Amino acid sequence: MELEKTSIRLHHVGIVVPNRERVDMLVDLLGIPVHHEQYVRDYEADCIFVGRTGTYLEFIVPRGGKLSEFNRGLGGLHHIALEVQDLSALTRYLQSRGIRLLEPSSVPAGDMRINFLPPVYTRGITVEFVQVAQASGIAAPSSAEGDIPSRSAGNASTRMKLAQALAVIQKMPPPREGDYNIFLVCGFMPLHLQTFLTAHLGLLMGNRPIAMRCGLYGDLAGNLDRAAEEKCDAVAVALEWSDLDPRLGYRHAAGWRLEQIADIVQTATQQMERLRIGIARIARQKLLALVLPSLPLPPLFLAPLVRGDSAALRLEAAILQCASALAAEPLLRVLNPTSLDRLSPTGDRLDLASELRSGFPYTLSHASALGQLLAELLLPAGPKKGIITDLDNTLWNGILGEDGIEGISWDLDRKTYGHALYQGLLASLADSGVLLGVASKNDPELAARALRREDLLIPAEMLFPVEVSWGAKSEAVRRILQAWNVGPESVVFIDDSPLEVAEVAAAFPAMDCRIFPTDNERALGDLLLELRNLFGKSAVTEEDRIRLGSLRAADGMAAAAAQTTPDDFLAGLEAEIILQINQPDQRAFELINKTNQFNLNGKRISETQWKARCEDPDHFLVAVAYQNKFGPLGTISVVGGIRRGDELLVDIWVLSCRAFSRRIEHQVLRELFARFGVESINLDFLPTERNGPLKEFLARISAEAPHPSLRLTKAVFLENCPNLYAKVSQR
Amino acid sequence: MNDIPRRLAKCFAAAFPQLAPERIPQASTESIPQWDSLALVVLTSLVEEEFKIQISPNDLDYFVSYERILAYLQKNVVVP
Repeated sequence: MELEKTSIRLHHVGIVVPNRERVDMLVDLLGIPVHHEQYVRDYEADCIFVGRTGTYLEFIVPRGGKLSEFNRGLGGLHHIALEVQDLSALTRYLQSRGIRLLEPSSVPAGDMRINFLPPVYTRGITVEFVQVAQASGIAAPSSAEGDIPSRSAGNASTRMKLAQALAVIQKMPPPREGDYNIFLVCGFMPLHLQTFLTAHLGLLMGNRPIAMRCGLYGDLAGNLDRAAEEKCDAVAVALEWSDLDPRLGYRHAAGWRLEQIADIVQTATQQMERLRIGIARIARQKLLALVLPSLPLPPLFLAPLVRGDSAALRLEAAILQCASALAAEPLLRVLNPTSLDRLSPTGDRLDLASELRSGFPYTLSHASALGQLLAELLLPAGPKKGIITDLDNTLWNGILGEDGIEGISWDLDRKTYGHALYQGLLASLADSGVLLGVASKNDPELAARALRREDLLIPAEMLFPVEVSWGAKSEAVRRILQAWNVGPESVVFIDDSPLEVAEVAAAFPAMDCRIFPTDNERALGDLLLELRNLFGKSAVTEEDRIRLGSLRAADGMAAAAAQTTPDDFLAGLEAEIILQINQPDQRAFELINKTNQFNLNGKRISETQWKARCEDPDHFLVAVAYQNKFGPLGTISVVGGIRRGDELLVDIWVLSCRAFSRRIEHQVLRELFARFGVESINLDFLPTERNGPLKEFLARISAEAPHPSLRLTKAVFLENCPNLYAKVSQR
Repeated sequence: MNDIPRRLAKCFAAAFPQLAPERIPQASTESIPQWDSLALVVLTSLVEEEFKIQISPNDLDYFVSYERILAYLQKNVVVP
């Protein structure tokens, strides 16, 4: 049996403290929040965990028993605790090595199970092994002052508590005009769902105030109408069975007669169709997140619970049919029931006491899960852009330098098929525009030959750049980031060596660095799912398809540019700029919301605002695509605003950093002057932490220090504009 | 160690953020204007969450003051 060494990490350091007052004093002194507290009956001690995430200090306050005599009652450093994935497996492994743990079986401690390695084996240091409950439905204990779970793929142990949600809301500034407005549509009392949704949205928006409105109790259809009329940034809809027919709820038990079932199914199906129309109407104007009924159906159907009842299945089919039709709406996001299942087990969702007492049907844990997932639907994290992978024991099994090109494997026969799955996922991600780079300590020539093996599931041309050398991994990663022109926060690094992962993580703290789990298929399955989640997107755009080609072209272009003068270089590029006027698309929206360096004012817009702006005839919007003899860059700039007399008021202008140094920004301004026939352009400039490149450009072209409402006349522009070489056309 | 009062005070602080900590022991439906039916639902849920108990609707009669709730918890919560 093998010990999964890579899965062990420091969980906490345990310190015995004689009394609670001393703990409070230490917490206050160190300024570390209490994460959670628990009483461990077996050791007769209160255990107070402090710290933010990952590794904690555990203050152990004995109430009696042996621990009260520790260090003659004075307390002190007691143990270090290592987290393991499978404590039973570890116990068996240690037994096979002749080592017995202190307890005959692991001891429950809150959401953990623990056991100890006696000090005799470690020269006096007591080592505790901890197995933390994961998606088992056991919530991690925490307190109002404790950590707030952040955005995650989600498991039951990361849910926010009601006290935490209220604490988050209390810290928010009061909402004002122009803040994020959301309408929560439900037929039940919104109560804690409103609280959790507000808190999670607040966290995702950096504690920006949220103004949330709700409709009337028991009137979901009417609330949809109200949401359609309201001016708001987004709408969240939480459907329940009772919204389709009150007899499907718990407040109309008189309707549970068998002869009514056929009528219930028919009424509910018709109502679902009416609601579908109402939901689709909103989603044509506003961003909308939809939760399908998440509670179990009430016990009115004939079949035993183990068997699918025909009528109940018809109801569920009607819901799914409507949901699949709605999911095609561009501004509508349907919550994936599987994600909800991971975070909130079906059996723990209904709080009948609360439903009967106050009209709120959810348990706190389910409301918390729904609030979190709805918030993540409304404010999704942008997908990451690239993966940097190791080769040996990661992309394939084996060490190239030792096993040779034919010795490395990813097949079923040699029980190395996990690497094939990894390759397959990388290839699939590359198809959707994800960049794949290689950072490997290897012989470059040997690695190049191995990457040309025909049975590799990922074509070698999908990998760019391939950084193979004997230098530090972090240096290879740095070169790849430069070639991609992306920040470390947009990249995942994967390597089988914990040492290499630690080295890269230390160099790039913002990067998501992961250990490739060799010989652990379950962990590999989790990794593959997480990668799909991190790079998830709703559709593959034209930009996704040409991204890799653009980067290779940029590489070639940089080499060519170094050999000539800027003007000769630009003149020889055979460049073409393609303007797309007042034909907004998703790429333009995304570009506005993710561009930082050449961004007029850093303002982001919601999808609802974007939709309204695109439909406003007074606003103009120009999307700019670019290509040259090295290949296309796709849409790289967006400029928008309104016309007032002979002046353009521009409040949106972004240019992708991939398109710098081609004088595209100059040509955009020239085209605005020419096509709109104006004498000046008023630029709504605001300095941000990162828009220095734009600021420098404005200073050069206007010959003055950039400031808000910077007015650039045509005469000044022409005086400062260098030679321009790209051909311009309009699509 | 009986830390029920401290934990209950934490629930009150979450439900009634405007209430000064020193006033919590005297808090009641009469002294806190914000203590309406909605606030009662929130406070009840916080207490259930904190003490991992299910409060029967019949017991909600106790939920009219900090003192009454504390007495209820002292009687019904098992302190290890």
